[in-house]
Amino acid sequence: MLEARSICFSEGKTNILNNISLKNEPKKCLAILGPSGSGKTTLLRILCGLIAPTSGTVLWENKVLTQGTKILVSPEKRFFGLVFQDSALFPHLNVINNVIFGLPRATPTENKKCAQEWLQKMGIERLANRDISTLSGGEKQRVALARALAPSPRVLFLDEPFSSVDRIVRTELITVLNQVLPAANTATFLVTHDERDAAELADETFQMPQI
Amino acid sequence: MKAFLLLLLLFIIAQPAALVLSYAFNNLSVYSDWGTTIQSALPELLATTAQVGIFAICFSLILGGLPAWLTHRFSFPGRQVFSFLVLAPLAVPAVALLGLYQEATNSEVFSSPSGLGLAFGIACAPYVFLLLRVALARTSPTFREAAKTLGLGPLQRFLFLHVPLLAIPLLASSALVDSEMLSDFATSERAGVNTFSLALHNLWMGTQRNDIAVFLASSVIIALIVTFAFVIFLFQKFTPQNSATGHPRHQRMRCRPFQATLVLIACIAAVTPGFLFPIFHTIKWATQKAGTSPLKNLANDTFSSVTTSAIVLLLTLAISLVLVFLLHAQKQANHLRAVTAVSLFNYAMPALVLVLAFFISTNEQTTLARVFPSLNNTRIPLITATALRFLPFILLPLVDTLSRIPSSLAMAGRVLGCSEKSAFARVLLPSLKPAIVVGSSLIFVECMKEITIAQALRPFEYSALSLRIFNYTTTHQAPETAVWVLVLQLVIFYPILRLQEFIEKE
Amino acid sequence: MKIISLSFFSFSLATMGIATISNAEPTKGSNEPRELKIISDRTEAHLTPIFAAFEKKNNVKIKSVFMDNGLINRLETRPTEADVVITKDAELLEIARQKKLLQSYDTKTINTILSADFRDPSNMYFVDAFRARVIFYSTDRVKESDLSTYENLASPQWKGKFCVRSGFHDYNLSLFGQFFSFYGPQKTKEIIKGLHSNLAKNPTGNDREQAKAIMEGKCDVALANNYYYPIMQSIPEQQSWAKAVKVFYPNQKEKGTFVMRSAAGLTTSKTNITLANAFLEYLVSTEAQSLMVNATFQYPANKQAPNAPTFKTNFIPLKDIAAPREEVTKFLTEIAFDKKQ
Repeated sequence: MLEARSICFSEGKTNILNNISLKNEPKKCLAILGPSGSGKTTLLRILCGLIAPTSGTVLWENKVLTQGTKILVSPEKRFFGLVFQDSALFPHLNVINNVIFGLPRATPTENKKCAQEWLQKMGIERLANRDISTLSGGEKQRVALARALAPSPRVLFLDEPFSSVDRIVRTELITVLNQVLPAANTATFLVTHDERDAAELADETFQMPQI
Repeated sequence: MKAFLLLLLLFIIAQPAALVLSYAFNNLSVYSDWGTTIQSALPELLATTAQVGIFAICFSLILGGLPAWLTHRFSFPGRQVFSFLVLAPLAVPAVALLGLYQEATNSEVFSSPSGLGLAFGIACAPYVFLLLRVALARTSPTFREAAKTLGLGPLQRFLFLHVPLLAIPLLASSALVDSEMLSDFATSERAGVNTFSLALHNLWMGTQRNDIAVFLASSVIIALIVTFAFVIFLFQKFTPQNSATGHPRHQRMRCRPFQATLVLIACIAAVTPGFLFPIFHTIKWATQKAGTSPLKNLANDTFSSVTTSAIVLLLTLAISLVLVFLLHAQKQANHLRAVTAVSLFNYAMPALVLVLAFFISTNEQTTLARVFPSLNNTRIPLITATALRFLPFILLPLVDTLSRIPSSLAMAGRVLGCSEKSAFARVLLPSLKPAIVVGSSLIFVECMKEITIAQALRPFEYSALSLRIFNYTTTHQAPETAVWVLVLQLVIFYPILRLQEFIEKE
Repeated sequence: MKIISLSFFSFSLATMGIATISNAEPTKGSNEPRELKIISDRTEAHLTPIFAAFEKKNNVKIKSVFMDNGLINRLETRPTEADVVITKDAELLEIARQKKLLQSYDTKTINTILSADFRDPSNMYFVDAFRARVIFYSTDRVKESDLSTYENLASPQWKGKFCVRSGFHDYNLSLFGQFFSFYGPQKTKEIIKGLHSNLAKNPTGNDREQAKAIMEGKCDVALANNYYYPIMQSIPEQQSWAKAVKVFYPNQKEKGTFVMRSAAGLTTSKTNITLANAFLEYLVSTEAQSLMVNATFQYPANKQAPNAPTFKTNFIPLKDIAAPREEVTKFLTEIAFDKKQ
């Protein structure tokens, strides 16, 4: 279980997060709802360990990951997955190498096999050797999902994954996620401003308070 | 440790300008001896320098800007070859170009401000070409289409759309051309045109007084500080803060036969002053040399030049990558820009001033010289000074590329299991590869033709292609000059080819 | 492939590392040639025969650095970098002496060979060769009888007919400095102003290019060093320049033609004094002086060597040659000498 307790974050004199507490369990999807500028992405980054809060605690299975302004466990050691709004695929790697990137340094053959399986689950196995600059928005997000899920993360963060795709692609991605997520032993946090996304994917919702 | 390393690098980069300024402030009494003389000479000097600068900017914009537009806009046979030829003047020092034109034409024009401006314009046209080609490639074609639909004709689109859109790269090109002109006294001396850098040189050598040279030099540095602050203000105010988003790929216009002919004529006209005319005369003179006296020193000069340039390149690469690693996190991007701006001083100030700073800092009385007594007897001062001078050539492309890499990329690397160092090596560095290639090529080329610093700081028994070319140019040994210039061009061929490839990929 | 790339890269790095630190002090073995370091602003080709002869005679390796400009400035910050300094103009060594950058040479041999005109009174440096700053004049348009003195060149009869290289070049700074010592500041400024107003074109190019300008009809008279005349005659592309001019030695009816003097001295380095002194002695020997004359067409300081001058020379005392330099530079800047009126 990933838990955030009394997370506060401010930049200069601006309070972005004020006393946020939430938790989520494996195999459950928690949607974090709120309008633009409510601090959803900031909260996500704090939970990932990419930035430190002003105060508060982040725990995994009661083990402290972040305490106040100190990041006790660095992001690369948390075994979390993060899908970005703009997919953030590495431009110098093709599709399959993007997916292999986060896999443990086992034998190349094993990594490749694992990556191919995930591309198959995402329905884009034919794109394995493609340059990412040739992909559409929806295809990029599928690759990003495969990359995030292939290392079997303990927690998956989805940061507005459908905001840069059209309605049809959104529907396809939600279908894929609904197929893949229940099988993965992963606690999922979905950050979105769209209540329909929350309704179709999440088990619970958390409303970001107004500052 | 990080903070210490950063401070050390900052100290090294800022040292020349800081040294000159502090030396000047400690010797303000020189103003009482020389104040009146300098004041009386300054208006004329500034007017002449401005005149040469304006000519140089105009010629470089024509010889670099026109080819940039032609190769961006049109698809025609030989387009890539033409792009390569436009970059060819990178391989020849401006003083050799001017000497060539003087020998070949015997015209008084090349002993006048306009002729000097033309020489600098030709020498700097490749930089203008590079900057404008990249800028044009990043400008969305939809702007032009929108302007057309709004009823703007070609001239109106040029004046009210393209010029404002290209204002920053045009300004940067002009600044670069003027920096080259300001730093190069040798070409001004060859032309006999009394620019600021030549006056600085004459006063320094005439009086043999460092304090007079430093006094003049510090006025240049202060003027540069003001100019940079203004340019940076303009840059921040008018440059879009968002990283480039996708836009329709630019489609080159296929030329009809008549159009292609016109374009080819324009191309040939554009590369004639910088490539065709010089290469014709260079080969002619080089063949005069062939079979006469042996080409003693050529191999040694080439080896010296290449090794020195390679070491400078490695040093600048190391410094810039360390700076990027230390400062690349989002909140410190401005710090990296600030360091880049400081590094620009070492390029913008006259090379003689940098030499003066290094004379002061490598004084035998300094602690450094006492601890390492053999230091001055090696290439280390020469390499360090040259590296500091050309550091902006790699920092600027890196900063530009970094500003266009989404921060989410590095974060994705971290979340996927990379440590900070590993994310830098596996995620950021590959994305910076084009910038590294461009910067490395430019630095190597500039080092190979650098003269002023090499002359002053060379250790015993050191010679280089550029130094030999300078000697032969001043003693009118055209055949020997030609041979050495051809070898220089051969050595620089590969970096120029990489630059041309980069432009095509953009 | 990876091994080959790695090996090549390692080899390149090693080569570059060696290149960077090469020239550092070598270890001395009994059979290894000894080393002498010389810094000079003279033309490398002119000194190389002398270096080669000395190296052969004495089993010595001479390491040199040739600088076009800034020699004294470098010496000021690195006073012991070299053992010997050789300049194309003696006033630079006089300036070095005033800045305490030299030490006394061994006078035993040198002072018996050279007359007082060629020696610094405090024995810090000496003149090893000299040449005259003469007038090149057009064979077609000027009669020898039209010429007389340097001051005459400043008279209105030569308006728009006079060419010279940059006033700030060492040769002209030296000449004008000698004017200051000889004529006094007031008259010198009048002469320089007169020369400036007589300029046919902006002072550009070197001395030989003034001969070329005379050939092209751009001017009729020019100031130049006399040795350039035989040098032009020896270069096929410049023979036509030499044919177009003749050489006139000014002030022969007065005190004589001013000369430019090359000089040599010891730096303050203590590491190689014996060898450095041996080199200086060799420099004034008949053998080296003959090599100098052959290479440069200058006149020897050693009266025993061939090619003594056949004209009247005006030697301004060495101690007086450096003092006016700053004032000359200032004046040339104030009147913008390098820009034709």
